[in-house]
Amino acid sequence: MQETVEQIIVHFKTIVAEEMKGQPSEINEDDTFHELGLDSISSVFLMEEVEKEYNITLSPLCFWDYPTIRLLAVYVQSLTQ
Amino acid sequence: MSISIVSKLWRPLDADVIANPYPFYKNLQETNPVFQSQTGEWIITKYNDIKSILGDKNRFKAGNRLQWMEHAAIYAKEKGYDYFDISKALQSFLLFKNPPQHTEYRKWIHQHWKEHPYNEEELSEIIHGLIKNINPNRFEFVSTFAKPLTLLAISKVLGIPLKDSFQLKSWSLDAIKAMDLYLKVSDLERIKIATSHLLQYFMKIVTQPELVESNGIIYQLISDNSLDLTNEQLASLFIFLFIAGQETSSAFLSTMLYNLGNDQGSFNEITSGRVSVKTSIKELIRFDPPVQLLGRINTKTVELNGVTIPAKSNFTLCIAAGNRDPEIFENPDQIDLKRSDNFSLAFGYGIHRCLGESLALDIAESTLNHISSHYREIKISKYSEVEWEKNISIRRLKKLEVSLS
Repeated sequence: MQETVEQIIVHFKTIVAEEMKGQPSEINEDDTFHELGLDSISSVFLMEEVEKEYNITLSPLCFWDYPTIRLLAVYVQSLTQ
Repeated sequence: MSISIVSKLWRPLDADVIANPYPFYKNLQETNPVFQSQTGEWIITKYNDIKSILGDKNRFKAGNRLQWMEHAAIYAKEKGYDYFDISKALQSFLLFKNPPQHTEYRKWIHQHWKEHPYNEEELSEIIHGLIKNINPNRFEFVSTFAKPLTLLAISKVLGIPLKDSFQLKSWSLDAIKAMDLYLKVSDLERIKIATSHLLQYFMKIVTQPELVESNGIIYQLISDNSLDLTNEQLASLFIFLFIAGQETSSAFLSTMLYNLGNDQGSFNEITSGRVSVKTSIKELIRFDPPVQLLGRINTKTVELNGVTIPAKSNFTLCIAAGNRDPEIFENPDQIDLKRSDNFSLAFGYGIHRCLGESLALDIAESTLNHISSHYREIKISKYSEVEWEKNISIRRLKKLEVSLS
């Protein structure tokens, strides 16, 4: 079933919160991934999770080209359509 | 910091950039010669900036990629991946080393490298052998010529028996991906498999040096281990010598032919003898060098072109952009085989300047000598696409169908 952008945002917040050992409610979808604490290593492995989850192929730069949870969610949603 | 629109100035993985990165470099050089990309690293495109960074061994250190691999392996372990073989395999790579260790390594290797100059006759024999089996009317240059030639040449210098080098070839191709910009888990998996195999092979050689030719550099370095390197460090060094020389040299042979195929006028200058093969190669390697990007980290805050950059920042130096800097090279986008004062950055600059430069030049020279003395025209096939590897760190063709007549 297709997820909406809002559903993808919720999902990404869970993934990032788990990575940062925090709560999804503490994560702001409009903060940059840099601000959220992701770096060039963790992003590689989170990308793998996102690719598997949505069965899509992402560019290694997508976390930085779509640098917030919201922007990435919009992008990922467009790929799953 | 809040970013709503991401600047798309840094897009090294886009298809048009892979096919031809030069307009992309030029845009950066003209608008933002010191540019902080969306990933946080600093992109440097002016010749003089690159040269001053490469020459400044006190404030700029090499080795970002090795550090990244080490940290990635530790991080990935928690997620159930095992990437430690990658950093083990890369630990003695000279391009990641800093003084004083770098100086010792280099001096020691250079001694043995010097004692084993490549025999030009042998090189030309290999070329004749390869050409013999090719139909010049139409053939795929990368796999039938460029790769086997450099593989055979490097194996000879290192003393690796032929039957082994053909086995090592595909691992070398995957291992060199470790140099690429921005990796994915799937890349790390391939690099890991390749580096594990290479480590295994060269660890065996270190303990049983009789398995390689006694007049090759590997045997000599094992016999004279004056730096007291561990077996693993030696194996890593041999992996470096094997893959670094091979992939970059074969990459250059292919782009050299590609660029001459697209500029018949320049090729005519060579075939008619108006310009020497040696000087031509210097220009062709400036115009389109295989190593396009190099990494550095600064130990102190630095100022570049009026921009202040904090310590411990990552730098990506665009060698290939510097080689097209109009302040240094007149008409930089033109191949001008007679260009004088051609001090390109193709082989780097400073203490890390390429160790295999003369071998790489010999291989290119022998190849171009052969082609320019036997053929008058290089045609790139219109029926099959020119395919590039999808990364510009080492710009390399996957496939190049050509005809020589």
